[in-house]
Amino acid sequence: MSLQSLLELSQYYPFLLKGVGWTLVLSAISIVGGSVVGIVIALMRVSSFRALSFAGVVYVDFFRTTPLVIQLIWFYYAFPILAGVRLTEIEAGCIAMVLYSAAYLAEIFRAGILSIEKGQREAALALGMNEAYVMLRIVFPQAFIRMIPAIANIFISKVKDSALVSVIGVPELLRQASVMGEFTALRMESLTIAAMLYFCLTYPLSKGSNWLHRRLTSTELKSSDAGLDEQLVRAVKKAA
Amino acid sequence: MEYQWQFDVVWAQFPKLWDGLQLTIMLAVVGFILSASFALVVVLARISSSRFLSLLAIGYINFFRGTPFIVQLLWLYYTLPVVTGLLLSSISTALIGITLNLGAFIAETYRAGIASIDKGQSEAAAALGMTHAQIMARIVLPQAIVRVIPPLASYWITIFKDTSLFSLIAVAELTYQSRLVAVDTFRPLETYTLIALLYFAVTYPQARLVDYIFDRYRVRS
Repeated sequence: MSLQSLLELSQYYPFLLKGVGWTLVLSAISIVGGSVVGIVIALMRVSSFRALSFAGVVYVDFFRTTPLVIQLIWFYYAFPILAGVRLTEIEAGCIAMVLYSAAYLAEIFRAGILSIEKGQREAALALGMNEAYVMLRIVFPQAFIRMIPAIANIFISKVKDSALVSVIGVPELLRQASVMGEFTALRMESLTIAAMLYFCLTYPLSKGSNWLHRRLTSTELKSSDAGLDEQLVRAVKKAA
Repeated sequence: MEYQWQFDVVWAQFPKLWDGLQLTIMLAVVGFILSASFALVVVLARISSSRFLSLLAIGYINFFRGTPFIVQLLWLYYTLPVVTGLLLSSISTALIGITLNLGAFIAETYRAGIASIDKGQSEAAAALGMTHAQIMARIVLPQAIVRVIPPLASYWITIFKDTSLFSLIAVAELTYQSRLVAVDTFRPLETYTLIALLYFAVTYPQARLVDYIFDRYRVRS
């Protein structure tokens, strides 16, 4: 890896920057779209209607136990045949990423909803609020605060997962770096630069997420006096 | 026009997929053992009193946790032969890749497990005259291991799914074989649907088992 080759590659930086842009856009779409779908799935899972909660369970289990690569390939090569539509790489990539993230986000939402003490819900119902109102006014606002660090972690994994979308040809960072590597015959250098760029994206994010986690758990501890052990189990479980 | 499903053409290729599945399982088992062992070395470096060793471990852990596995894998694929001068098979590259990647994640899990053991215990043991090694071996590790079992089990699921990425460096595991079958049969819809269901059928019971392990080894507060 000589200085000369790095200098040669440096002239392609707008090309890589475009890749960084797509990586961030894809991650943002997965989080936003995944949250919308995820909330629906989480509500299905906590609903008392058996068929709905079963469908929610199947969705989460299916998307969490199959590899993302398979889902990407399926939505790019198989789904258009089935649905009789044409999808660009970017569309197929977005659909797969959104549905995949939704399964993980749904579990976070569900855990967040269930972590709110039952008594609060019962009290609100006793005061005459209806179910939807209880969710919106009582459960969600508290659950959301608890979920923030976990959602931040999901965002970091989306930045990393989005690299897989290069498999179907979306011009995100890894794809751009690979093309640059082929073009200049400097594959090793290009991939090294890509790895560095990914690190520059995820490291500040993970530092920020840790800080958020510490801040939010310390205020929670003060307010609810929850046991430290339980906090740790939750943290360990979340890390997994 | 309604699509005519033809699973029989794909089914005729099942021996290929079966080979792929076997390799997938083999890679997951070997990769898991390698990364769990390697992580032990990393965590010992991480918590060692030597500033140099722990900084080295921190750098390694942060870098491998902060970059996508696929980038690491491709990087190793192109770099290892240049750096080491060895011609490595794609399977060994894949195993080195997963060991380095998952080793970083598992090392952090180990560290969390060790840190979760109340400091008072180590202090009490030190007051009783135990050496550092004795405290680790007799007091801290036996308890930490039990706490680490559940997250370790979920890394097993991660590694099982991650083996699908090996297809990108031409390891002939399940995903790679399925791409061949899809091209051979001109039936991508059936092939990829079948593969997705196959992954689900194999991984789902394991995921249930992990849930059971989580309940079984839950820390009671």
